[in-house]
Amino acid sequence: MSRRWVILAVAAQLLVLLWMAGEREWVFRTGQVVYLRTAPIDPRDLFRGDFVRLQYEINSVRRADVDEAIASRGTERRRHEVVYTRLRPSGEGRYEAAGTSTTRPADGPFLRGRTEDSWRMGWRGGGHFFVKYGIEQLFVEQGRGKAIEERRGTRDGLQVPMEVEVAVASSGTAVIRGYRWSRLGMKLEMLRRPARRVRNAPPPEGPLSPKLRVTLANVSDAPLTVADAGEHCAFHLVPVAWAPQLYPPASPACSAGQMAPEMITLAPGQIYSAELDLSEPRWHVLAAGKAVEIGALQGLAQFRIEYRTPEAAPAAAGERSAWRGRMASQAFTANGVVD
Amino acid sequence: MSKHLQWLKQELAQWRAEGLVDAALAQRILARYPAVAERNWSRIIFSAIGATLVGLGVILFFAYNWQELPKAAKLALAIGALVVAHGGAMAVARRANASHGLVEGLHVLGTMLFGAGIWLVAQIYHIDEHYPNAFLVWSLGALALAWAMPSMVQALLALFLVTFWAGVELFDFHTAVHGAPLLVVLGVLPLAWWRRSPALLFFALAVLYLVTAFAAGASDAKMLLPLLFLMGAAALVTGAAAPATDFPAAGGPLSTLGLLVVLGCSYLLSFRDAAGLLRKVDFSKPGVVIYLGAAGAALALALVLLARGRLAQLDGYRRWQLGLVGVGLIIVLASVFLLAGGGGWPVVLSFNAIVLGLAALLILEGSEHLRPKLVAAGCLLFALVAIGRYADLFTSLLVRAAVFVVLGASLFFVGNFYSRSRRRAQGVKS
Repeated sequence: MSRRWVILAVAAQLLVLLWMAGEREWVFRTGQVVYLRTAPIDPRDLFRGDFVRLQYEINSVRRADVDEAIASRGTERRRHEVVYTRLRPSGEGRYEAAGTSTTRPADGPFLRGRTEDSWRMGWRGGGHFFVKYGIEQLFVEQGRGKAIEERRGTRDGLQVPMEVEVAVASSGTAVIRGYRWSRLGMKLEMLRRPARRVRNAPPPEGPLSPKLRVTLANVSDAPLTVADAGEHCAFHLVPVAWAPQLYPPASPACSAGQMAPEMITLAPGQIYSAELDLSEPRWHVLAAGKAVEIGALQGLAQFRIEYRTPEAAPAAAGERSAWRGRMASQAFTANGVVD
Repeated sequence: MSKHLQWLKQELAQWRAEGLVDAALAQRILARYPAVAERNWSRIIFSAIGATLVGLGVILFFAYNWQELPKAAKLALAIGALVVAHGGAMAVARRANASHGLVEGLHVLGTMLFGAGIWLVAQIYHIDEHYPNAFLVWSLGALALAWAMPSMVQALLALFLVTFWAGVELFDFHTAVHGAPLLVVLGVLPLAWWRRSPALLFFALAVLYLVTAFAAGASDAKMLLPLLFLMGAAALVTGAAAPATDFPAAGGPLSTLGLLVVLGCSYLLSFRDAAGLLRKVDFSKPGVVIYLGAAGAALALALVLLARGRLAQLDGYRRWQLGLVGVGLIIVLASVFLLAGGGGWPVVLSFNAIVLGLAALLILEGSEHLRPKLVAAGCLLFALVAIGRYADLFTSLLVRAAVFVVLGASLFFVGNFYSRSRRRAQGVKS
């Protein structure tokens, strides 16, 4: 046995560990801190114990939001291609995607990620890319993963988004520093489902679209102010990220100029609910140049209700308790099935 | 001391007591069989298994992910444990009467802790990278020590990790890992040759077949059968040529694995459905030319080696065996390259005949040289062919009954033939 070679081999093992830890520690200490919204799920890893799988909003990148270099490839996607997602502030320290490109942005913040393979995108692959940034797992002590998932909420109940604290290096490498819970929770209830449509038969009597109740809840331990305006103009009907087709709103009832926000202060645990009848003209969308309700759309269209703080609201509130940003509900289909 | 030498010493003592040999003759007989300095393999193996289990325990201990333990403490624990294990091994190795098993065991523990460290760092920093890469890095760490020490246990650990790497890439990510066969060919096979280790050669070849099947199958499944057949034939020919090389003991593992792979492919091709898998290979797919080219080159090199060395000294059984494999190879390559696949009845019948021929050769060779394992392998092969044909050829109960009668009678005949050969060899007239 050559002692010198053995020492070299052992040193190589040590260097690998030190490099892995050192690189991440450097980003942890010097990177720009941003918060990214996510939905946690709790599995377990054979070697590393409990971890929470994190599905960020920025993991789904709309085809419309990518640069030409990616979009021009049509439906063909290259696996594990390096892409960069630019980030922009969306309130309360949170950041959201502001476009994805194959070229490194000149300035930050941006995340370096890789496109996932088409197999993992499954049937949703038509309208979006799935991008991983290497921050999709949060390792926790055994037994705590389930508690995190419970705090996040159930499908039928109140859902509270997790906001992961991430340090981002100038190279786009990201390291998880911790997490916090959103101060605002959201619940979606289906009050009325439209009658089932039969293929090649005339549309059924009555409304074609569902009626929903969306509830905002203050899940913090301090008062929280939200805003609404007009015909619930703080709520928007948006297609899911993976929708192959976008349907812009047909009604001008909630154009920005007409909104006069009403400030609603919620005590801890208090809720604010809005009932939204998607059959009403306020919720109609433009399809092939015609205003139609979503229940009249062909194919499997999925939507979310998104709460957005009206632009004028933070200034009107002028206080720290005002919640700013946007929050989306679970996805649902035009016939009232919640994802 | 080997069991044979121990037996010889006991026998010589008895012969001297009976006056059959004198002390000088006994000494001369003993001198013909010098005791080879052997490593205490049982101790090494138990130390390695113990170290592996301790390492796995440490990985699971870290997997609990103690929240109370600060990040720096976790890192210090992982890196410190690795340093202590390897440092301890080096300290023990410096002693004059160092226990080789202990040194091996401590180094294996160190490499297990290296793997644990990779997962722990990923856990501490919540790294969600492409996780099979961790197995690659881990295997490289083991391989580095396998060469540095040199250590067969570290090499076996590296082989296991390479297999795991290629396996999870294929089954979890549907990815062909062409680096895995390359790593075995460049990283482990030369080590086995350098250390003249038949055991390491056997495992390295087995892993090479497996990871090549993973990678080649994922690239183009149609090249899998011709490629494995080529590789099996190459190993078989190299095994026949090995006794004339610097590493004669390589003949055993090369011939055994080569024959196993060729038999497996041949048996598969004796079925109508499987023979249909022989289709025209698409050379435009990545890796097809490289894999088939490399296996073909290995076979050509082995044939040159055999022709220059031992061809004239090959016994009849080996010549027939290589001849049958050569016929099989020509059929496979002709089906794939010239006939554009299809694998009709002529292919199926040919491979039935080839498998039966190889089975007969095993039985005959085993009987002549009194090697019961060869006879048993031949009988098993014969039975497998009969069972295969029972299922897909014969529908009449009478014919099926006849198959069992023929099979039973044949085995009875083989048993009788083997026992006569044995008596003949022992010089006992029946």
